[in-house]
Amino acid sequence: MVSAPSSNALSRAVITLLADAAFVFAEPTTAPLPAGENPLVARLTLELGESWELCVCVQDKLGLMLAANLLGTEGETGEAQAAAADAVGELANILAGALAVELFGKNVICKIGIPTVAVESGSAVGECLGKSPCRVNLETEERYVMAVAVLAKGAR
Amino acid sequence: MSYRILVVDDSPVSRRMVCRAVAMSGFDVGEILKASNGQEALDLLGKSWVDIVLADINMPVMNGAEMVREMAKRDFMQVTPVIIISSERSEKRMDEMLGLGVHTYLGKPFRPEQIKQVVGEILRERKEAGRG
Repeated sequence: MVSAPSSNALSRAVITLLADAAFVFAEPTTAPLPAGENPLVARLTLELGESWELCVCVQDKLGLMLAANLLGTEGETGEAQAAAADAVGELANILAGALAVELFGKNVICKIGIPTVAVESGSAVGECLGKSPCRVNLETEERYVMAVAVLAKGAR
Repeated sequence: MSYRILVVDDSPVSRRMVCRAVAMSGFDVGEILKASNGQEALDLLGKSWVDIVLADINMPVMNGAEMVREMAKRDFMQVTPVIIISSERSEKRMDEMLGLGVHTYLGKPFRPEQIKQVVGEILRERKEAGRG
C-alpha cells in the first residue's frame, strides 16, 4: 500500500503548477475557503491497484482568473466565465500527472481519470477535505484561496 | 506551403492553448483541425491529410495511447508525425509512445517555445525528405 504524498510535496507541486501553467503565484496559508461561498471543485481518480482521489477546490473568482490566464484573455470575459470549470479541471489533470509519480513512481502507468468539475457546497467540501491525510490551502497574491487534497478512495 | 495541424484534447482550454502556441510559432499553418478524443482524431485522419498531430493522452472514448496504437496498426505513423502533450509523466508510457513512433513526448504544462521547436524540427525533416 502506498502512502499519501506529504502536504509539503503537494504544496510544492501545486505552487509550481500554478506559476508555470497559469502565471498565478500562491503561498501556503492557514486561511480556509471563504465561508458562505460554494467553490468550484474538480475531482479525479488515480489508480494502480489502489485508488486515490485528487480534489482541487477553488473560489469561483480564482477559477475565472485561471481560465483568463490560460486562454490569454483579459479580465472576467464571458469566454473566461464559460471556461472556468474546464480550466480548473485541466489544472487538476496536470497536477494528477505529477502526483501519480509521487504516489506510484515513474516506472509504471497509473490510470488517471477524467476530471469531473462542479460547484459544491462549501461545508460539504470542508468536511471531505478534513478527512484527507494530505491537504493544503493556498492563497494567491490576489487573496483568493484554494484547497487541494489527496484522499484514499472511499474516504469521502 | 500551408500546413494542416490536428490538435486532439478533450479539454477545450487545453486545445485552445495548443492552437495558440501553434499559431504563434511563425510557421505557415493553413488549417488547425480539432478533435476531442482519439476516435474523432482517427475519423478525421481517415478523411483529410494532416501534417502533424498534437495529442493528449488522457481523454474519454479513446485515449491518446489507444489512438497512437491504432495509428500504428493502420500505418498512419509512417506518414503523420505525432507529438504527445500530456500530464502523464510515466517513463513507461513515454517509452511505449516513442516505441510506437511518436516523434516527441512533451509534458504539461508546456511552454509555447517547446511547440515551436518541435513543430519546426518536423517541418524541416519533412522538407529535407521531400515531403514538405
